[in-house]
Amino acid sequence: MPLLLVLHWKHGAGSPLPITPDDPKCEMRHQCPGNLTFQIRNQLNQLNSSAPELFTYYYKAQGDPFQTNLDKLCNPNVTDFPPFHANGTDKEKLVELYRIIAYLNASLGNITRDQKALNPGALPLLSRLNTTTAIMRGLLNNLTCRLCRKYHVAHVSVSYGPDTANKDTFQKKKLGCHLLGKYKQVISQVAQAF
Amino acid sequence: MALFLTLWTVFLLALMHFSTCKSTESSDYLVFPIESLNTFIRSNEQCLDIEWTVNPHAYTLNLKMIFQIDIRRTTFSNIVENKNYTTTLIPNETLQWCWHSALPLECTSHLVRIRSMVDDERFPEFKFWSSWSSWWKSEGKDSSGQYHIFPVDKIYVEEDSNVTFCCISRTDNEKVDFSYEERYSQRTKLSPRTTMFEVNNVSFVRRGGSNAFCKFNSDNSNIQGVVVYITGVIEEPKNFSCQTRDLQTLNCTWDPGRDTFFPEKFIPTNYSLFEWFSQKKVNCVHRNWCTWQLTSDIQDMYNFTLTAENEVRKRRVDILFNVTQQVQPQLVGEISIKHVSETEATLKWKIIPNQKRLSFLCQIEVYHDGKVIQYNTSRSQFTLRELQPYTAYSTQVRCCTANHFWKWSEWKSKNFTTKEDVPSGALDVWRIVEPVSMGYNVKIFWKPLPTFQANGKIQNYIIVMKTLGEVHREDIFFSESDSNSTEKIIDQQSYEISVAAFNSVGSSTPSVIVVSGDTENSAQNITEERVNGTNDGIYLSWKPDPAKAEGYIVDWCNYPQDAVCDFQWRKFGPNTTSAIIRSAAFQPGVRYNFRIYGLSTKHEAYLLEKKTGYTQELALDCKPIVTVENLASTSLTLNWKDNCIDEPQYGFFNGYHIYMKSEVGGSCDQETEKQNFSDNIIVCKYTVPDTKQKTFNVKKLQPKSTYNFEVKAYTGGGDSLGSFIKVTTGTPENSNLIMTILFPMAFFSLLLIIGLNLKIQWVKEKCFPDIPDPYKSSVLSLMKFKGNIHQATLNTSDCIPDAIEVVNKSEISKMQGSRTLLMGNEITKPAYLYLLPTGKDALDSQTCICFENFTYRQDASDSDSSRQIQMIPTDPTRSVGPAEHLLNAEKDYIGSLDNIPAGEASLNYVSQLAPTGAISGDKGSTSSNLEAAPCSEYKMQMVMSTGLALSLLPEDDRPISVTSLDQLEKPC
Repeated sequence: MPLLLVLHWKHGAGSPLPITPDDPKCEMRHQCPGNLTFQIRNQLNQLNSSAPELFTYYYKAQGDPFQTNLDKLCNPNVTDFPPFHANGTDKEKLVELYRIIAYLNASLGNITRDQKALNPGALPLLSRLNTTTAIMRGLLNNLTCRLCRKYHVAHVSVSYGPDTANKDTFQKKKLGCHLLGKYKQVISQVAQAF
Repeated sequence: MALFLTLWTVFLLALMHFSTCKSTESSDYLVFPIESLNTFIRSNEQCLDIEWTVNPHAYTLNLKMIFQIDIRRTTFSNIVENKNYTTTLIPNETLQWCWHSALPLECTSHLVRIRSMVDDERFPEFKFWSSWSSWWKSEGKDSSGQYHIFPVDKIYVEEDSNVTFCCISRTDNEKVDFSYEERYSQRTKLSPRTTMFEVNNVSFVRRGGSNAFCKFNSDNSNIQGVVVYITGVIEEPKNFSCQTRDLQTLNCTWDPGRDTFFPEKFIPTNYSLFEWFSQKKVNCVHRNWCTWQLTSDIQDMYNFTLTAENEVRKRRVDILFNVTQQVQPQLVGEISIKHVSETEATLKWKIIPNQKRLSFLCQIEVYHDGKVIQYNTSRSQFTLRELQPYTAYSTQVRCCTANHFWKWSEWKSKNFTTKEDVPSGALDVWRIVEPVSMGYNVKIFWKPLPTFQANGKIQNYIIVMKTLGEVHREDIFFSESDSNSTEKIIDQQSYEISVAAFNSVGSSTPSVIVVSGDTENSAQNITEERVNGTNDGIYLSWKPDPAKAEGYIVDWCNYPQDAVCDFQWRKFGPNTTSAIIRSAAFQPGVRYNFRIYGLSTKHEAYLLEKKTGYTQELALDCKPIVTVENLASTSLTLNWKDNCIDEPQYGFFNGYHIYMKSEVGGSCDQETEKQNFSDNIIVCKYTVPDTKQKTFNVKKLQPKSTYNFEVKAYTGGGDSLGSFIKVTTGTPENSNLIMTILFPMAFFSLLLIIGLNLKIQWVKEKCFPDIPDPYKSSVLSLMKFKGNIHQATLNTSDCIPDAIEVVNKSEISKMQGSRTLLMGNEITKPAYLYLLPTGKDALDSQTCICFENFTYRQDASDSDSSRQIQMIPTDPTRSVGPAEHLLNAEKDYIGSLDNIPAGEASLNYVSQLAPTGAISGDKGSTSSNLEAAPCSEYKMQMVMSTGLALSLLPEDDRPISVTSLDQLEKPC
């Protein structure tokens, strides 16, 4: 499981918690940079611009029938994907963005792990997966700072997609393709909302 | 007690009876039908695991039975497997058999039935098949109502094998498409929902595997897939062997064979070692080696099975060995050196495994001076003997097991140096004695002792000089260790000089020579001889010393032209009288001087011979400049100047070569050497064997020929450079010719002229009188030739002059110069005074020939002989009568004379000859007339004064030397 899953998972957590001055997450907020909004926007733009390419590299690396059946094998049909409301308040959007990025970050970790085993020679794909994961980690940190500093939100309950470790190989490929298709679709909407 | 025994007997009898009855019953019914049947699917092995039971009594009897197993797919299928499974029943052991199916077992339902038969030797009479069990059904996934593809998940397949897939639809008879790397697959409908696809001879495509997938429904809305990984076939491990270095750990290695295409972590090929005696197993981390911990002193024999397996295949290889015979020992720690002396050293080392049950053989190699000496020992130490003092040695040691050779250990090395010892032998000493003002300067040389004689580091040399005269004196000097010479001044006495080398231990044996200036004085009388070099060096030979020398010494300088000449010497035994002197310093073109000494028993040296020579002579570095003197038509003298000298030079200067090349070719005379070149040029070579001679006469040259001469100095190494000169020989000597021929001729000519002048009158009378004698005319001879011998003398009365020519002397001269007299109208001719009438008819009928007698002309006395002139009239109007003709002629002539200066006119005598057929030039046209009146005689000659008034033809009416035929006929 990705590290974030362990760090962020708390049993029973489901909604933003009230400000807790003793929360260690927000005690570190003095270390957050000053241009958080700008950085978050830039990171979202980075993800948005690289998402189509990542998606393309992914389905090409999986071979046939993925390239010829994108609508069936890679459609953005992810049932438990966290919602995003572009017309919500800034705080709500930040919280929803946090959940989405946390979900994506965990899923990208699974995809990266699976692809390292399934396609060890697909270096361009693995490189882009690593880059995207790194940007998401930075974005999560910035979102944490933003929520703490501006809205004093120290904790956000998150959910994750299914763990693919026990799935069969073809299913791993298919789930990864669905998720990256969803990621490409969602990150475009989110980037526009910020 | 009796009661107990009675009851026990009864019990046994009853038991025996029961057993007998049972056995009898069983013998009648030894048929054990299947009592229970069950199946399980092991998907990862594609194994249908079948388990069944029979009556327990069969187990107690440990019967050997045959079970016939039928398997079919679905109720409509034929039997796909009919297996006879034989086993011996063991109590509490489940009867089980695994059926491997090519088709994934989940694809459809499988039905199994079994029957049995006793196949035991104990009961051969009961071999009857039992009844079949009822069909036992193993359900497939085709009734699940879901879309499936089987096999599921990733599957591993060896390349070139066949793979069977099945696609299961949710409902009956759905449209199903299957694809695998665009390969053809054979489709088989197994059931309304299950379709089987067979792909044959799959091949490796990529490490990431290939997708095999099923598309269901007409719009392909559902896709189920599986990833297939193709692996190479695991090869049986080769060269499997095990050895130990310490009898504690066993190291086994093998060659795993070719790669099976997969990264190890992705689809690993697992290697494991299983040891049968100990029943232990180790999973190997690496694919080509593995370690095994030995149990010391308990087990020597090992029986290993190496297993290589992956998801698809398993390979095994066995090895059995005694571990004590597969020991490669190792030397631990450094080799120690003990007891190093001048000539000995002891090596000591440590071997593992250090166990008494093992013995070792060790090999020692000692390196020194590029040579190696090898020793063997079974101990762990060895003493090296007969070593050289103060010498560095390099040693190395390796060992192996002695009782059973397996492998050598690695080499262990050690270097050491033996201790110093007293120098052995004596120095090789020689000297140079040169006279100086105070006596003689003695330079003493010695050669450093070789290492094997120095036996240590030489610290200094001691030189002891002792007089041999009546007064004994001894001087001792020391020289540094790096020196090899010293220099002393001695007087006229003889000195005994001894030289010895010292190291830290002691001194070498002194070398003694006796030096005296007298020996060098005798060298003045010895002439130097030339010697020839060879490819190896310079060959020297000398006459044996009559005084029976104890030995001979040859000395020379390696660099004779340098201030430090690198003095060298070699000593020879008394029986040696020749040697080839070699030196790496010898260079071609350098003259080396050798002195050969005899050595007496009293260590006195005396000069025997002097030699000089080259290893290889070269041409001289000079260029003679040549000039030519005394150039003649067949000889010349060549002179040249040069700077060619005998020393220092590159060879023995022997003289000059003169090369002569003629541009017109030719041969060489006997004095020269003829050289033919490839371009057919011939060069003649003269040899002047005198280096002092600077001139040379070349003879026997060709006159008016060009020669090229070149003069070169020559040595045994060839010719020097030369300069060309081009010489052309002169014409033959004309002065002699003049003196011998022309001068006498001129002299006699002069005498003749003088004589003629003195006798001019006589000559004139004889040769050209003023009035020639007609009787002596040559005409007479002509007449004689014609046969008219009676008219030998010309009769002047027979001819009538017909014309008189009046000649102006000056004009005659001019006209004679032009040689055109009477040859055309345009040319001025002598005027003729016609004395006879002329006419056309006469001319036509007969033509006469007139001879002008030049002897009557003053100006023509030196002219040619009389000429034949044909007079041809050109103007017909001039054919008039004689009188008229004469008048006209007179008239014309008077007119013409008016133009002649007084005194220049003179008389000419004209002779007229009658026409003669033999002389006529127009014989054909005039033959008839000539026959009628032949005209072959001279006509009368007349002398006419120039002052006489005559009628002459005008000049422009000529030629007019024509006479009337009528007038000519009669007189003739």
